[in-house]
Amino acid sequence: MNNTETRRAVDIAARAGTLLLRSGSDITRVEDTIKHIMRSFGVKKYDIFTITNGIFLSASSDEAPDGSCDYTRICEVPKNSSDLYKVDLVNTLSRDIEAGKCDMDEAEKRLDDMERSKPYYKPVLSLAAAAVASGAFSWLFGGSPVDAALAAVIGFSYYYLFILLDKTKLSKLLTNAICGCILALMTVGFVKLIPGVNMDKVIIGAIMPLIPGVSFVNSVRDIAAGDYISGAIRMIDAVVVASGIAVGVGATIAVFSGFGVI
Amino acid sequence: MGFADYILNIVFSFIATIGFCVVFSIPKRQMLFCGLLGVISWIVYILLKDPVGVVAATFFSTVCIVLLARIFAVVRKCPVVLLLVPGIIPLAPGSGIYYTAYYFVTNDMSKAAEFGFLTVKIAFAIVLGIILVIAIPVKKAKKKSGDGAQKE
Repeated sequence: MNNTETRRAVDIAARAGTLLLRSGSDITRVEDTIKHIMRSFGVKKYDIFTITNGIFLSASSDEAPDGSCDYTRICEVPKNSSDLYKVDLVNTLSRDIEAGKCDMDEAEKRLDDMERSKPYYKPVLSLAAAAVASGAFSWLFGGSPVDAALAAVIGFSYYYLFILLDKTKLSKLLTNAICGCILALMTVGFVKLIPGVNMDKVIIGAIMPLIPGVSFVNSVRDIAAGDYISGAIRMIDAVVVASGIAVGVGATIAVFSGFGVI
Repeated sequence: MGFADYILNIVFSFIATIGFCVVFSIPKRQMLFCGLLGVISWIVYILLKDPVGVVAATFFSTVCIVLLARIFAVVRKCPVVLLLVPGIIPLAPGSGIYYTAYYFVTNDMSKAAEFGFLTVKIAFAIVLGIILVIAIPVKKAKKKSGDGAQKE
């Protein structure tokens, strides 16, 4: 294992780890994947430290003098999203590397593809999915068929806004507050227009696509694994998103009930 | 609840979970299992809701889902998070968040506190359920076989 090879191995491991972390994986998986890739490529001495928004890793090649580390990577992961299919892809890649089915050249090519790849589902499809999920949840939580249909319409429209806002640099709190506000506004409009609509059931169904499921589940898994800092970061993330929704919906309803509209 | 209601509940929780799979961009080949987990979590929840209460029902439902997700993850050779997230989603306390905010802004503080605490209790039920089952150790599979159960 010479210097150049060590470098490449560390690079591949770091890129795979960054992709995992960015796409919504827990810390244990990121560290395990990096370890497996490094070991499979023959790096014997390495150290890894991972938190939710960064990976720090160093390794030494066989040519390095005793105890010295000759390559270090620090990867910043500013934003975690939930592209869970990438977690699956990187997992397959790491399995292939471990089984010896994939050399460095191929691994680099596959990582290039993953980093460039477009969303797995077309935006229209995820909008439709958000609509269907909103409607179905509205019904499951006790709404009438009319409530479910309205929740679907509202889910479709505000989720479009959410996708647009999510691409900007707006803070998560504000993004979710704006979405909550818009969906509450639309619901109030429908409640006024159509008699017999249950405002609560429509809103409950429509907010479901905003619920921070991936952050919450990963936070719990990190805490269970003893990664308290990462777990805390993700838990705060989930609480911020939930508060954002509550603030948006709450403020809109406060204004309307203050004027006696609802 | 009659038989037809159960069928409708199964159908709608399946559809809702599949919708979420697309929102979280979960690959197509895992979708059926995710939908199945969503249905199981919802059915366990509504069956237990009346006899043992919402919080305990959420807890038991979470335990079922995490167990099944771990088993499926090994069988399907995919990361456990892919199956866990859609399975947990039907239990998420979206209604708790809404009612807390609603009663808070309409100045009904006792009800706001009641729903606020209920939301926190449900969240803790999910946390406990996940931690309990995740903590069960799995026997590490032999490394060479490429089975890799340690990376479920």
